[in-house]
Amino acid sequence: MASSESTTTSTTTKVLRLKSSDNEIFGVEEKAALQSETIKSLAEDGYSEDVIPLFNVEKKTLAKIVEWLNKHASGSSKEELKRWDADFVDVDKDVLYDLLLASNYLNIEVLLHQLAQKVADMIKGKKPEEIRQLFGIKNDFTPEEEAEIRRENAWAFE
Amino acid sequence: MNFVSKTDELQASSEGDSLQSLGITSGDLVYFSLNPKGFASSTAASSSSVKKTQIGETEIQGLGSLEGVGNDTGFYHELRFLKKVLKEELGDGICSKYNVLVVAVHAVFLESGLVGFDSELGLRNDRLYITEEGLSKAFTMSLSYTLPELLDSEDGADSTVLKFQSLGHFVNVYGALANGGSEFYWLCLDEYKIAPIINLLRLNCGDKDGWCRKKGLFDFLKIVKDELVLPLLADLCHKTGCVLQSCFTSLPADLKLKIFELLPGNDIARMEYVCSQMRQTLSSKNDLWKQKFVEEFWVGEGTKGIINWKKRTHELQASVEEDSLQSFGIASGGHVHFSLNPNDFGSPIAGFSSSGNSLDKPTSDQSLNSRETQVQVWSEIRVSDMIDTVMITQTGETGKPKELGSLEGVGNDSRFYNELCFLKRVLIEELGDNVCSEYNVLVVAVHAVLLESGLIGFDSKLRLRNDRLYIMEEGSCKAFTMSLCYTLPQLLDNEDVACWIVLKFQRIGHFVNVYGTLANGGSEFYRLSLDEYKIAPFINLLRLNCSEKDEWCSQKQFFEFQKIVKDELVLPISTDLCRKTGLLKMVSILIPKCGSPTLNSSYNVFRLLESQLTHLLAFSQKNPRPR
Repeated sequence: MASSESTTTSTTTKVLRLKSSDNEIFGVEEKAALQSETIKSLAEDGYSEDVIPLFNVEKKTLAKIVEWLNKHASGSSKEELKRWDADFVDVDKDVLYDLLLASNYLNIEVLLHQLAQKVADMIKGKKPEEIRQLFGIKNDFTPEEEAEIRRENAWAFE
Repeated sequence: MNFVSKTDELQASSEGDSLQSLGITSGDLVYFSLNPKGFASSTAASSSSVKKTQIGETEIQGLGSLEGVGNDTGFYHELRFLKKVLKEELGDGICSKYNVLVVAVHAVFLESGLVGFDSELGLRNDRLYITEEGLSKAFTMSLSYTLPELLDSEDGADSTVLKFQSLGHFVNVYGALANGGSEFYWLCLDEYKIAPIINLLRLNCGDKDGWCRKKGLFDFLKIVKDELVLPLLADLCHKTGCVLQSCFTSLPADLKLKIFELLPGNDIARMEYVCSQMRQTLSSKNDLWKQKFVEEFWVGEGTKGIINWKKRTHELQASVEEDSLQSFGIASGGHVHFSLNPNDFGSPIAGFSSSGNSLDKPTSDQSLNSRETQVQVWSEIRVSDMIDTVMITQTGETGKPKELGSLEGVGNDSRFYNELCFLKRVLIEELGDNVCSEYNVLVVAVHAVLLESGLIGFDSKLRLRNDRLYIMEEGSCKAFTMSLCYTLPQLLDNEDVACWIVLKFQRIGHFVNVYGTLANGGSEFYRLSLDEYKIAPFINLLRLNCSEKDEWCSQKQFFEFQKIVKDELVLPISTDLCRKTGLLKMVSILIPKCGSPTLNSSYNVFRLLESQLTHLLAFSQKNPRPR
């Protein structure tokens, strides 16, 4: 790696071209892109020379994923990365779901875990009614069912 | 006012749309143009960018005026869209902070997939046409939005209504469904804080450095979406039966499960109460509850059969809440044993509790007199407890082993009394008194030697200690290759260590090959071939108490078996493990002290390592790790 940097970096670093479902193309350095297992296997399958199509990711989401990939390949210090990641996952729920789905599809284990942790932190310590509000879920239990669950899980509501 | 609304949206729609689907009814005034730029540029731009996916690449290229938004941020699509709407509605001129905020909120709604809605005409209208005077008079204005899918419905589309109210330098935004059926959502925005940032974007004042300010902008986007757009969308979809695309409940089950795995048991139980779908997802996941149970209570893996882990977790949760930390170690129902320190499991067999801190004390009569109860209790505890005992007795504490009255057939006059007792115990735990294959006997015997050497069984998935094998006769007959993991107790607490010992067993004819190496590389492969015909019979003698004292000349064979397993497998691998994890330092310090740097028997080196580990173990028992 060090040797490649001493020569001209522009010619030695390979750039993969990723295409979103809505046809926008993102150029990403190979080192960064290969953090995604899905891209890795697509690249190994011979897509690496031309565009790698990612049918399940919109450009809006892919732009954010690319940002994450670049940051995590940039060699930032662990501490800086941690701060940056906390900012990165601090987004509205809409974006959060999109990112979850995308990182799952792209198989980026680290990012997926960060996002899942973020959602878990949002849930932690909340009452059922608050969780419903949080996720826009409707309470579809009948009063009888509700009473039964409450009895069964009384320990969790104290 | 009404005229303008009809010009919107025509060119953006796909070719396949009918006139009706565009919301055009007879009598409407419709303007055509073949040239996409034929309309006033503002209209063309707004209508084509309303749906999330409609902005083509070329268009973005054409948006040369959007300097200041580097595409180095993952949010540049959102920022561009916001900027576009701001330009359209407000231009470059001076305008009030209030207007800027209204337009910005409007942009967020459009960007989320909603469309502007003229409730009088029942038509789509994404434009605001804010005029400066108009607004300053009407401090309360209201905007309607709906989903594109609902525009077609003939019996009048449901919509959400936003109302803006200006109070001092705050703008209150209220949102609700137009015809009831939802709560009121409310958001308060500070003009002084938010408007300047948005104006920077609108007026291209932000150079790249200025975009450190984008944090403020993101906060704005986030709060509007989370507090207004998403709840209103959820209500709207619920009322009209539309499927909400981005919603927690529509995430795939495996993703949801991933999230739940990160939650404490309490919160999972509350999730179950949220809605019926969640309840179904969760109550069927016994594995999830088991994992929570193990995580939160550090309970031994000794239980057999199908267990309702959720119920267990609840029971324990309840008991923890009532009890103080001191009594945390009390077993419930005699099945479960607690410890604050993973290395500190008190053995329920009183006679064997070497460290003297056994937490509950079933009477020793019970456990020793009846063989059945004994085996049952053994199945519930960790073999590792016994290692501790054996290792400690080796280092000089005597007396206690005499209580092992039930292990007949092993005379305590043998030099290997302790090792034999231990082996026998593991054999009985894993195999009982039943008939079992010679292969199984060998696997368990090798397992016992590893445990006896100070290693502990390890579940590499859960990253927890697990000294049991749970061999089933059919299982092992079919799967001739099985693999076991081991680690050192010191490494168990260290989450960073991704290194443990893996043994693989392979059966070829009447030989069993044992391969050992480190997980994740860093060591050689060590191999050992054992002859079932030679070794299994005398191990079975030990297991089934068939031998008389005289026959314990066979202990010679046992000694050879133990020696070869230790020399060929245990020692080289644990040396590699120690080297890789940095534990070896203390061993190499010890060797010169003995005065013989060139020990001819590697077995002796291992003894040194073992005694060192024993000290460490004793130390950790005196000083339980705080949890």
